[in-house]
Amino acid sequence: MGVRALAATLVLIALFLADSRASWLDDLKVTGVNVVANIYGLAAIPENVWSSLVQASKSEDALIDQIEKLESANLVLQGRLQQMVALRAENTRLRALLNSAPRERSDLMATEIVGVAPNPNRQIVTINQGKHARVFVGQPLVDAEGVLAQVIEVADDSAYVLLITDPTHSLPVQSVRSSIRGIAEGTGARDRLQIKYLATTTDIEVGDVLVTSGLGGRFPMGYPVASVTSVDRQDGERFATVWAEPLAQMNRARYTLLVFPENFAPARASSSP
Amino acid sequence: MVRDAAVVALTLVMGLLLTLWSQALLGVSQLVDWLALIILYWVIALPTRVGLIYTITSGLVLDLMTTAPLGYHALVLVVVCVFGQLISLRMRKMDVLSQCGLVFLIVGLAHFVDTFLATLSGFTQVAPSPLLTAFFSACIWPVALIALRFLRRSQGMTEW
Repeated sequence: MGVRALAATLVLIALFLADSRASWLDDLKVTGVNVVANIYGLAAIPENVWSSLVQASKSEDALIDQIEKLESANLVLQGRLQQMVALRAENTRLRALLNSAPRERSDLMATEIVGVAPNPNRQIVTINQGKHARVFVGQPLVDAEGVLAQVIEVADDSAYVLLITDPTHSLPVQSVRSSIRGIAEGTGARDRLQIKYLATTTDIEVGDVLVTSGLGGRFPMGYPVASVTSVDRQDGERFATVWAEPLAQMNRARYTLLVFPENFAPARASSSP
Repeated sequence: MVRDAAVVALTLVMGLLLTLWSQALLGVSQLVDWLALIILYWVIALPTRVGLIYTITSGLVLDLMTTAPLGYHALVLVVVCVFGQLISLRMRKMDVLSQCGLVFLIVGLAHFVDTFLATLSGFTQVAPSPLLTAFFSACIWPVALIALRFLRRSQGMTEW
């Protein structure tokens, strides 16, 4: 037992170091993730059964009421979309007059969060789309309110995404009001981001909405990220301490949207915003 | 033989499911280390049949499920397996309360290794604390012990 345990420990340490420092095990990991994705499917069974029961127990009147509400909400959104199309055309014309390049458009694909990775050190969830839907590493994920996460590992029919509130995640942002740029860093708390590298003299106020700035090229420009909740300027300090609350529903989001670049159409049904 | 292996494997899959469900229900992962408890039970009950292979396989599956570097959880669970096998004969003779104390020590030690590996991997946030996980795991041990013992006896699984 002693020798075997020692040998196993040494092999595992070597594996751990190899996987931490190099990427040559990635293909093997993708194969493994394809297998363990079934465990997430198994874990979701009770919730799916419960949802089906709740759905089945709803009365016909409640369902009709729900459909009516969704139809009216859809109508409002369609109206806003029409306005958006006109604004986009006008924006393109104005940018052409200024000799600026047209703003990049993006396609969206609906996806569902199917599990939360049981890792206390990182904030990772799994979605039910993968390589078969042309999902790629670094791809942004948004919900109805704002930016939620980015893809970090892709299997055939599932992918792991890292929430923007993870302590290792950083995201370039810009204030809608003052156009000031900063970096939104995760804190580990689902309701808090820290906006770093803003000088104490920066024009930023509580309530300012921060959107993706597009710098870094990973997140497209203009997606809402967070709202500033506190600004602390200390005398003698170079940078202000700024906290913001993510707009996306970090704990509750279930149905989300994968953002594809314009010339990278998803493999399945998609829609342009 | 094959059926016994399938029973052990099924309990380990159940451990992984319990890990996912407790994360979904409580919003905190690894408050109770279900896999460690299940592995600990089997290495105490069947030390000659359940050991490193089951432990490492479970650990690697958990690594893949959590996007941790391969070997991370396997190393943590190897600590549980090795200490479980070292004290298996003594632990069988103890009363449940004393067993809980030992479970606290073993799971606590394993989670200190977890914290060390997390720091080595560059993770800045380690939660919950190793002692909290060890405490809750020790509290759950009597339930896990009764359930797994009932399963083992109902399936007629013996060491030889």
